[in-house]
Amino acid sequence: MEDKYRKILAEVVFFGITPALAATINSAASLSMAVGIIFIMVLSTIVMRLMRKLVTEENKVFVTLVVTALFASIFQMVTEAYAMEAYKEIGIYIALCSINMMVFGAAYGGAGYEEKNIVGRVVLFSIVFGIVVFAVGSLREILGAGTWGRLVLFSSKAQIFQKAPGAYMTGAVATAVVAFIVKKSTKKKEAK
Amino acid sequence: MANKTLKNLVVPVIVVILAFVILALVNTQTYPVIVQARMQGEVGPALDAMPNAKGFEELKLDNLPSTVQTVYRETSGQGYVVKVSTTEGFTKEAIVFYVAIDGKNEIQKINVTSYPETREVGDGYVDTYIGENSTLAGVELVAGVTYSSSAIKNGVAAAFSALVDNNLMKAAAKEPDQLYRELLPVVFNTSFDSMGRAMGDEFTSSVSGVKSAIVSVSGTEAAYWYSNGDDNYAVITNGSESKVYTLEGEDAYSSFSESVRKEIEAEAGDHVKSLVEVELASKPDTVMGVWRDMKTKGYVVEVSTTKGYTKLPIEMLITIDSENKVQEVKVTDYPETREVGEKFVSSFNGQDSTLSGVELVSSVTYSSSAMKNAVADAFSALADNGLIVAAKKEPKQLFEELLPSVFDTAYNPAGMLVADEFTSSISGTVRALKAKNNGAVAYWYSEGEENNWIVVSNGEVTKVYDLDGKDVTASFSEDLKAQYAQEAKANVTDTTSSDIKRFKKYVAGSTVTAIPVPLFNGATTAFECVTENGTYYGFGVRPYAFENTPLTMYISIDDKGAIYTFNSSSLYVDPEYFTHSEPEGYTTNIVGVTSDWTGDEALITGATLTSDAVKDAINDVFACFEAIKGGN
Repeated sequence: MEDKYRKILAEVVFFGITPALAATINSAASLSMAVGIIFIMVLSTIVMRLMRKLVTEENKVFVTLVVTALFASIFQMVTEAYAMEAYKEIGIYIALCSINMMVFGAAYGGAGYEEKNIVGRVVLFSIVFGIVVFAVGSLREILGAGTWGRLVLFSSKAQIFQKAPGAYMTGAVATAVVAFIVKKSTKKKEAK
Repeated sequence: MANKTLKNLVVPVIVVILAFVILALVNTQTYPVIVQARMQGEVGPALDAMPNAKGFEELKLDNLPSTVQTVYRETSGQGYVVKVSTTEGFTKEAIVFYVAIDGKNEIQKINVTSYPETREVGDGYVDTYIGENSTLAGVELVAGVTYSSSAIKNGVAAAFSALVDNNLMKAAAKEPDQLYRELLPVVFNTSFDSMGRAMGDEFTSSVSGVKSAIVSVSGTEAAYWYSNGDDNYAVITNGSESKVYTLEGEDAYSSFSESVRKEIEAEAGDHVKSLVEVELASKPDTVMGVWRDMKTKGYVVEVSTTKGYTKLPIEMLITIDSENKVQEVKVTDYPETREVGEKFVSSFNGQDSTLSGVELVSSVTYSSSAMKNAVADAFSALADNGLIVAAKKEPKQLFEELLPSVFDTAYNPAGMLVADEFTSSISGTVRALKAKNNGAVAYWYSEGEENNWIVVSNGEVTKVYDLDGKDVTASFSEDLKAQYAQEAKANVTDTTSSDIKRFKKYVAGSTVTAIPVPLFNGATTAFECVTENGTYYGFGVRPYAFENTPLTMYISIDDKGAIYTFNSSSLYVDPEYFTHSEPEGYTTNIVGVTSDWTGDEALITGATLTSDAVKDAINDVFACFEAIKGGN
């Protein structure tokens, strides 16, 4: 696996998953969260890329925050107006999650807007994030409610997965899987 | 440098302003939609209850019933939707539903959004409410699901109340039959089924104007629905007394037709029970049962006493009227050997609890005394259980009732007074009695209506009691006590020296010393007999036997309370008359008995009165021994 992908995977897990756990109670909410993240992060990145010559190193974090908050607010308003059910599920978490990733990413230096492929990178990052979040949400729903979307899979269920401890457990599993993948690919690269 | 400074200051400001403008634009587009969506989220269930509603406005109202959560007014005037949440169901969890009430003040629809009960009320149940007004007259509970259906019904009623109480609509008038049905649980003492209907025996009334009549489950009262065309009433009656209510629950006794009421009472008297058994918390042994006469408000008491001459049960029914006086005494079983006579039985009529006007029948004293005491027990049973108030007794009666307990030496084993009256020279003495066994005298001393005492004396020992039975010897006048003691000494027979000789013989080797008689029972003398082996107590006892003639017995008791010796000058009043004799070893069997004995050792077949006298005497000795040991 190329470095950049390993990096993206790690960033997804360590910047994104934890704040997203509250909204991953089921697959539908996770899907809403993924769509929202993609929208917010991609548009924010595009704007920041366009403004790269106007933004200095000193005010990069501030401007990133304002731009991300703008698109997060737009997404929230539109969702609340036209998709109330989805809004009830993800509510404030979408803003929390996206700003967390964008701001920390900007501070960390990972989001270098000088980089030509930054938009593509963020798109990829968001898609990977969406996949991971959707996986976590699906796992929580299957184990905690016995359903997946409209499908009823099991009659017995472990309700703990619908609660915070279950969220952390599932998140920990996702982190462990990611870490395993990253470590394995690192070893392969070193072997080469 | 300046360029960078410009970028650091200007660019963020511009970005913020632009973000503000963009957000304001988005907000103008999305805000109305959001408001509508929020409204939809909240009133969605209300909308389901009133599908044609254009919109809802939430009303802020006061005085809402506790189960009413929210009241919405439909904005185009179609009516109201009330959100109700009630925990009165079976599971006590919230049943939530929305009641849509249209412009005609009738229920349009009920939308149940939460039903956590264990049983379903049935698909069509809420539909039975459609078209109902605030009376809910046509709505019934669901059998087997009464808690849940009752909770829903009460919740719907609360929804109407919320609108009525806030002047948003007028309550519909209930029909008389519904008002009567709803009034009964408040005024009629009977059971009600799970549907709220009165239980009991319905019957067809012959009284004109009566719509329905029912006798309660207990059978003690009846409920009538009466209508004179203009007004409706509920009449509750036991056949002799009635209560009358308007269907709104107000007292209407005084305005109700007296003739109709009496007609209803007369008819009800044929349907309701007259006598109802009364449970007593405590009662004398002679009282077998008590019944309340629901018509007369009096009582009937059944008694059975074995204190007559034959010791077989004398059974009577005593009717006591509402003024707490004897109405009638009916003797249902009389096993005695002599008749008391109709005059004695009818002498109870009109007597209150003092029975002051009832005299015993001479020569039938055992039987008449037993009957009189049984009637007294009947009154006691009623008074002690708070059913009647006992009449106040005159000092004379109090004196006569207290005397047996303080002057026992003058009473035979059947509890009859065996004494001679004499005239006392001491001023203030109302009565003076001398026990026929010459053991002691008793006086009734009076200083007025409220100050009366009993003075008992044998010349050596004097005791004084007030008419409540309290020992007031210490506080009584010393001078009077001395006077009474002196007079008593002249009226009793001193047998001390002859009794000492007896006990010297019966308790061999003893030094016999006279001691004060501790009690005024059959023991007329008392001695301490000291031997080498221990101390014994001797008592000269003079109980009453056949024809109330006193016998003389010499009984000693050891220090542990067991009879040591038993001797008697004669056990029979007329030895030639009685062909019986005491069983072999009779006195030997008595020796050694203690206070917990059964009395069987005193039995002499065919000589009941002597047997009772011996038993009485020995019990008196045990009582004296206890008094001595207790320091009396």
